[in-house]
Amino acid sequence: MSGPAPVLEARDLTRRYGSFTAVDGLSFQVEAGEPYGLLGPNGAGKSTTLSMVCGLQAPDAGEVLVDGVSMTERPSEAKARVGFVPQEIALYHDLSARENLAFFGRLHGLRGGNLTRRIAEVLELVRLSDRADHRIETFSGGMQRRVNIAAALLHEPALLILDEPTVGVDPQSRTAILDGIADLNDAGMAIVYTSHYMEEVERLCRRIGIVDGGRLIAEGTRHELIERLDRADRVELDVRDHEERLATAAAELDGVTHATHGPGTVSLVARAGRRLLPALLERAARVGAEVASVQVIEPDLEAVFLHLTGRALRDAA
Amino acid sequence: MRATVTIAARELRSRLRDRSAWIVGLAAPVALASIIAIAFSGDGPAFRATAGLVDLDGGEVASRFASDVLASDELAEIFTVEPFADEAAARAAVADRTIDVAFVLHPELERITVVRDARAPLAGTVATSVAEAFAAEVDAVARTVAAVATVRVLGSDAFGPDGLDLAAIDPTTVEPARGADLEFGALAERVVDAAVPATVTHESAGAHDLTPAAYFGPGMAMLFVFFTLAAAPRSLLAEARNGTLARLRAAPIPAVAIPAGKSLAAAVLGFASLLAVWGATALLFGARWGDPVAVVAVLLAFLVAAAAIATLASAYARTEAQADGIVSVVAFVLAMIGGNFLLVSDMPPGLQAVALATPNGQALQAFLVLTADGGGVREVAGNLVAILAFALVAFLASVPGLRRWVAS
Repeated sequence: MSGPAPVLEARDLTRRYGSFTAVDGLSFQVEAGEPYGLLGPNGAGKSTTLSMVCGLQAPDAGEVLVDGVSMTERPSEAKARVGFVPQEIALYHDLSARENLAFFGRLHGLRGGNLTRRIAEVLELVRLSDRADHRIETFSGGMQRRVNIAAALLHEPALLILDEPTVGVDPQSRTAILDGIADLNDAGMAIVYTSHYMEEVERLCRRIGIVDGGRLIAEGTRHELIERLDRADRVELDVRDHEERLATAAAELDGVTHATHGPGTVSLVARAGRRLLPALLERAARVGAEVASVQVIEPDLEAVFLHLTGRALRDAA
Repeated sequence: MRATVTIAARELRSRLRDRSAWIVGLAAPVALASIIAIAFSGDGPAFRATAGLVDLDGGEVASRFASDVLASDELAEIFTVEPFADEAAARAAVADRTIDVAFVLHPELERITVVRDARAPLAGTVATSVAEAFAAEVDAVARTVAAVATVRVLGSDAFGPDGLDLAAIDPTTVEPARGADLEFGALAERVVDAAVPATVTHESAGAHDLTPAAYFGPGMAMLFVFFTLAAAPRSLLAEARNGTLARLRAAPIPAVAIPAGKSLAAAVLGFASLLAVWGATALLFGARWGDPVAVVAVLLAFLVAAAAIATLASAYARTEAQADGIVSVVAFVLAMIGGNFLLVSDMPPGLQAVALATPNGQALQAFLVLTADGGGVREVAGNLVAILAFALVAFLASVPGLRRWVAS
C-alpha cells in the first residue's frame, strides 16, 4: 500500500502491572495530518497506550515510532515531534499563562524571540491573549483547558495527542476546544484524540479505534464501524423499576441483538428498532416496568461499542 | 544541563513566591537559634532566690555562715536571707513557696540541712553547693586546729610521712599539760586568716570560647535545612498528583533533568538558608563559626547528606503528606540524638557515641573544632568524609524507591 508515511506507528504495544495486563498487543498507526480517535471506557487502556506513545512509560513489549523515530531508542528526538495534552490540567497554577508557556517552551528548546513569538501565537490560537499575564489559578476550568492545549502546541509538533481534553468542561468551552482542534487538523497537524464521549470522537476523527480490555477490538471510519451493525438501531428506554427484568424480557424479542440495563435505563441494539416498540412496551407492562420515555437512535458508535462488547460505553465509563 | 537549570529556575520562582520557604529556610532557624542562644548565654535577668536560715547551733562559726558566707558580695546578689526560729517554720515557708530554700544549721554544726522546693530546683542546687562549701571549710579548719593541738601535745615525732603514727610516739615525752593553754577559738581564727585565698579563673584551652550562638546557630540551621531540602522529593510527588510531571516527562529532555532540577533548586535554597543563619547569628550575637572555607565545606557536606537522607525518607512515600511526616520524624530524631538541641559533650558517654553515628553529630563536632579549637579544613577532614559517607549510603538506599517513581 502506498500513501503518506505514518507519523505514528504503535506496534504490538503491551504493558503489564503485576499480573494485570493494561494494554495487550495493541497496534495502530496514524498518517500525517490524519485525525485519529481512540474510543473506549475508562480503564480500557487508552491512557496507558498514550503514555507509551508519548514516552512516559516504556512498553513491556512492542514499540512506538514517531516519524520513523523509535521512542525507545531515541526518546528525545521522538518526543520533540509530539505535543501531549494530558487529561489533568498540567499547568503551574501559581504562574501566569505566559510564564507557564515560557517554561514548557524552553523545555522544548525554544529561546528568545522565537519563544516570545510562539507564545503569542498559541495564546491567540486559544483566544487568551488578553489573559496572558493572569495566574492560571484565576482562570475558569475551560480557560485552563485551553492553556493546557496551548502548552502542547508551542514547538509545532507533527503529532498532537489529546487525552480526554474536555473532561469537566462546560458545553461552551467544549465547543471552543473542539473547534480549535479541528482547525489544527485542517492546518495539517495529525491528531490522536481519546475520549469516552462518542460524539466528540465522531465529530473530530476520520478513523476510529475502539479499545476495550487493553485491546483494539475494532478500527475503521465511522461508516465502516457502523456497517458492522447490519443497520441495527439503538433503543434507549427510561424506566422506573424492574430494569433487569425488562432487559431480560426484551432480549427474547426477535431482532434484539444486545440488551443491557442500568439504574433507570434499558439499552437495546435491534434491527428495525421502531417496529419493535409495540412488543417492547407490551413486555414492559407484563414485567411491571413503567416506561417514562423511549428513544430510537440511528446506528452510532455507542451502538457499535455495545455490539462489540455487550456493554454500553457510558455505563462502562 | 540547560533543562536542569530551567526546571530549577521555575522551582525557585514558585518556592520564593511561597512564603513558607522564607519561614522554614530563614525565619524559623534564626528565631530558634536566637531563643536558645539567649537562654544559654546568661544575658537574661539575674537569678535570685529567698533563703530561710535556721541557726540551731548559735555559735560563732554558725553565725559566720550568715555574716561571711550568705552576706558575701557574690551570694548577697543571689540570696535574700530570712531568719527562722525553728526548722518546722522554715519547712512550712518552703512548702508555701514563701521562700525558695532553707538552711538549717544543727547544734555543734553536726550537719547542715538544705530544705529544697522541688519547683525551684536551681535555688536548691545553688544552696546545696554553698552549704557543702561552707561545711568543707569548717571541716578543714577543725582538722587544722586538731593537728596543731596534737603536735603541741604529742610532739612533732608523732607525725610520720603518712600522718599520725602512734608507734612513733615516745610516752616519756608526752606532756598533756602543754595543751592546756591552747585557745582553740583564737587558733581557728588564725587558721582562717592564714588560709591562702584561692582565685578561680577560667579560660579556654582552644582558640576561642564556645558561645551558645556559635553552637546552636549551626544546630538549628542543620535541623531546618532538612525541611528545605525535603521540598524537592515532595515537589515531585505534587507534580505527579497535579499531572505536570507527565508533561515534563513528555518533553524532549533527559529523564534525570527533572529530579536534578528540583534538587538543584532545593540545594540553592538550603545553602542560602545555612548562610543566612550563619550571617544572622554573627550579626545578632557575634557568633564565630570558624574558618570560613572550612565552614562552607562542612555546610556543603551536610547539605549533600541531608539531601540524600531527605530523598531516602521520601523515596518510599506515596503522598506528599506521608513524605512530610517521614522527613519531619527523621529530621527531629537526627537532631535529638545528633546534638542539635544539647551540647554533645553534655550527653552521657553512650549517647555521645550515638551522636557521632549521625551526620548531625559529625557536623556539630566539626563546628566545635572550627569554633573552639580554631581548626581548618584539614582538622575537620575526618568529619567531612564521615558526613559524605552518610550521604552515599542514604542515596544508595533511596535508589530502588527512585526507580519506582521513574517507572510509574
